[in-house]
Amino acid sequence: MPSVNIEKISKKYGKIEALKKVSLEIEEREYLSIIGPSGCGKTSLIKSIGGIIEPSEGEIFVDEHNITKTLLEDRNAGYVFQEIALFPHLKVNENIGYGPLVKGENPVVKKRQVGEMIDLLNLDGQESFFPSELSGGAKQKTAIGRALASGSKLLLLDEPLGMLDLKIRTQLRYELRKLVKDLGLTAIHVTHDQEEAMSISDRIVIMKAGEIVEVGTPRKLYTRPSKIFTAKFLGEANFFEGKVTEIEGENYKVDISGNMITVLGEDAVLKINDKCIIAIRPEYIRLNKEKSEENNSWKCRVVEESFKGNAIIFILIAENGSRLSVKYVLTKDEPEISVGDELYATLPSSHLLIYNYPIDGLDAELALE
Amino acid sequence: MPTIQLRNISKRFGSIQALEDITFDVKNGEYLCILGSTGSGKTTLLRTISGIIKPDNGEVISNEKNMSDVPVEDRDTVYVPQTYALFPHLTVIDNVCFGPISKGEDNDLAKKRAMEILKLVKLDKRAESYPSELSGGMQQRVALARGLVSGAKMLLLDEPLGALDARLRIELRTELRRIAKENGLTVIHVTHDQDEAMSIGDRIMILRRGKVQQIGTPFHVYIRPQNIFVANFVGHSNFLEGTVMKRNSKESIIRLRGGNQVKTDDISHAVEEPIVIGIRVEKTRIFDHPVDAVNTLRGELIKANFIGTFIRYEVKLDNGDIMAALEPSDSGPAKLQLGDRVMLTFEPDHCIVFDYPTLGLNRELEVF
Repeated sequence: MPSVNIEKISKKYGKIEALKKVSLEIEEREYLSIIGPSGCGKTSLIKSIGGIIEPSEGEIFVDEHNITKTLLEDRNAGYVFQEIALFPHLKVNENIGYGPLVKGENPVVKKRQVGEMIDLLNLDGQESFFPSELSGGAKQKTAIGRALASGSKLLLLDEPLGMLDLKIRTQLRYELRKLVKDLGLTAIHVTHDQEEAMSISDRIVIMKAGEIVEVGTPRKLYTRPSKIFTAKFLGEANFFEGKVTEIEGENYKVDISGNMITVLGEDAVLKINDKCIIAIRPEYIRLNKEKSEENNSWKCRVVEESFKGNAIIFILIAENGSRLSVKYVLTKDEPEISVGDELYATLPSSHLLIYNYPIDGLDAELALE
Repeated sequence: MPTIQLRNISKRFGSIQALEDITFDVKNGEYLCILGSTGSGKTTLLRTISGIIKPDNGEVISNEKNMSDVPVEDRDTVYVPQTYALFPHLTVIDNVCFGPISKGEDNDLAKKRAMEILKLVKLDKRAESYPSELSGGMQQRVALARGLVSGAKMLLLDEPLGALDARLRIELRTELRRIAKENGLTVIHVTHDQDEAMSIGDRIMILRRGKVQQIGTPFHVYIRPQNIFVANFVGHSNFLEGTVMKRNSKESIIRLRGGNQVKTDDISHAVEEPIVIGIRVEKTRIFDHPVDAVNTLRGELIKANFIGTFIRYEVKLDNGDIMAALEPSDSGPAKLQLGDRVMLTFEPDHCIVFDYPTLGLNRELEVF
């Protein structure tokens, strides 16, 4: 039932620092995923845990054993890659039974282990197929079966669903989580797919430029991100630059280019006259024909509309020049709003996020590459 | 006046029918996205339009000229492959000028035009950089500039955002559409990404196994999918199997497998006809208490996942079918627990009724 403890690991490739003193604790039986833009260090991190690369500095503990120098084959971690690497000349059951630890088992035990994997992964009936005869989803399930057949309780998944088609990916992600939970495994999963990360994980790690930006449950990171970059990278958000004009307990009054707004800033550390950033998710902004009773109601003009299937995105320009992106979810019929309409956008204070103004400016903070 | 017309294009590779009788028009200045999964024929189609592949049958007409015997380099369409294949030892501007200069164009003239094109794609300040010094998004724009420098107004883009990081891809959609629209380009853009096609195309065309399934605006395709495959491939839908029980001039009553009855406003199917109802997951509501609704199905909650804007619920109905529902994550029902008995409701006018597929429902739901 492994817990993993990463202490200040760094990895340098020449001048490039892929990991900068990264520390992270993963609890046993936890499903943790790691997301971040290309080059953020997520792959270097999982490869360090798996023993594929050796960190330049720092230590990694699994169940309190220091494994930093342990060889790859002695780590007892199951590793699944994006590129499905099955033996083309071996059948599904032979591929699953190939693991080095399974190889030494007596045939009866081995047969039982392989049989259990086939059951668990719903691969019944396909045991004697060769990889070329399998769908992409079945191939990747076989690879997962091979990683687990050796009995390892730590599963490292490096974009395991990345090569699969969207529909199959969606279905397989739930199967993957169920498998991990049913077997009591600890899983670390690197992905570029946000929805995958949110629907599969107990916690998500967000990385940028070799460092961890924030760690938390999907709901916490989405609804109350502590960092501007989290709000930017996970889902969508509107960002406004403003200045604090009044503070009353946890309530901040902020001036955004002349529009006043009240924000509930639970963890904010700001003083009067400080520059700040205000953020809000597009789906939390309400659109009304009349000015609402609440404070945070801005007069706006609709300038763009685009249909996204389960939502419509409206782009609005407020009287103070601010540009707002509003996501209107289509769980009911479409709204009677068209380009050119004048209306009020309400920004509920409970959904507004307030941050200190970033040292290098907002654009640098939001940059993906 | 359409600029690109395809007439009955077919192409076979050995025993595989890669393209089957494809006919459509692209209008001047239009942005068309061709959407399909791996193996659907979308790249073959694009390469056929460009002239790289010769079709077995049919013709490509460009500006009213039959292109069948026109070599690739003399066509007024430019094909931009998925891999940018920039020359690593040449600067951005030299990459862009390479084509015109090797065709014998004057150096200074070619450079001047390349610079104008780089302005369009907002890379004029990086003209002297080498590809390795650019981000992925910038490299993509260099590839685009190289396509545009020939003066072509018709671009054929094969997964233009495919090599980019997922999050960046979303940002660059808007950028790509802006460049096309501001410069009056006609674009055919091939992608496997449903959201990308919906966000960027004036119209989208869905391709499956070499055949056109539907072509229309994103709104039209989403609201009125022509068949089960499209309803499943674009967006997320629930599918329920049943038989028409009663029908009048306004609505019909469907008996679902297992005996439940639901009302739809479809009247195009006869009594006793087997059918499939498609309902978008976001138009399916979930309740933990009985509600007054036209269509109610009961079941047990088996999954609840927070996915940002929405919470996605999955319910096992009493007849064993699985149905999903999306609720806004900030205003949906109070916390439901797995295992709870729940009610699912949907409106008659949100049901899209399809003929029961000859090969069964599951075959239609396969992506390939």
